[in-house]
Amino acid sequence: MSGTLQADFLQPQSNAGLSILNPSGNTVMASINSAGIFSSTGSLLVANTGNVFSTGNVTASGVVTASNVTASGVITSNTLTSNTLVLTGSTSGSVSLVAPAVSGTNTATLPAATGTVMVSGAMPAFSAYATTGQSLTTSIYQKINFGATSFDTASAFNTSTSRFVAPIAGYYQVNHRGGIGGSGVYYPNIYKNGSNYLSGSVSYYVSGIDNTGSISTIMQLAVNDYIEIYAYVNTAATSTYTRAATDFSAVLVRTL
Amino acid sequence: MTLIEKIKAIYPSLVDEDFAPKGTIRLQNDSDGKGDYIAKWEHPTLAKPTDAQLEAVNK
Repeated sequence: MSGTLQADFLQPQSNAGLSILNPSGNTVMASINSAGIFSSTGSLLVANTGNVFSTGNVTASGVVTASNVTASGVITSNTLTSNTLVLTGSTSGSVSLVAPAVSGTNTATLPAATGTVMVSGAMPAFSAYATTGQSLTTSIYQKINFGATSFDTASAFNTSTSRFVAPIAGYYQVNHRGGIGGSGVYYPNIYKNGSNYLSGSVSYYVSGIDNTGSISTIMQLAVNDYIEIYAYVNTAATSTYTRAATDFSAVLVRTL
Repeated sequence: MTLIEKIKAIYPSLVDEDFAPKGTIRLQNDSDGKGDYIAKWEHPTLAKPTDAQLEAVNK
């Protein structure tokens, strides 16, 4: 009998299922029972890939212990479908997900923590600056305009309204630096949804140096929450501008 | 005449400390071309001036 079997269908003659025997015909190497479940007494070698799934690597709950799948620990599959996919790493190294190479190969490395995995492409960040000076009136909280951005990864900062609208709910690091020429005080404030959220710090006038103020915080934003910068001055003055003299920036630190 | 000057003209008893950041009255400008306005008025005894009162100060 040759080692090649060609058939469109293999049909058992009883409800016992199908069995594959060793060459001697005295040992069952693998079988498919009446419920259609495949089992093997040894390792299953996937010929085209060379990957080996050994018995005991797939538990009753459907967990695949990757370290035993191949020598390199790689599971290769065009489609892996499961309600829950659990990848358990060891005490060293990392667990990686390698995406299909549609436009290159991408690797996501999971940290040793419970939470939502985030990738930089989904974490909005922007940095804006003023392109013109504003006439600021004393005792008025006036919104500061930022007419240009150095970067705006999610197109979430509107240079017409000088407003950042959160596209993703989460915790954002928010920063501002501004100033005025002259001897007054520039007192910056972060506004959230039109109300003052946090006031910043000021520096006092030193001859020859613009009077500046700054503010930095981490704040929670829901989708479509917006933030702006307002400044208060105690002496009428013109605000500073240019990339080096002004900044309004934020970045999503993590989701909720 | 600025907004704070108009308000002080209506209520001469008000001083700078009555206005934010320390005080209970916050004046604001959203840089949208609509000018200064009273964003918050929480003065314990004086009523928020009406638009008519503020306009009358100019006359």
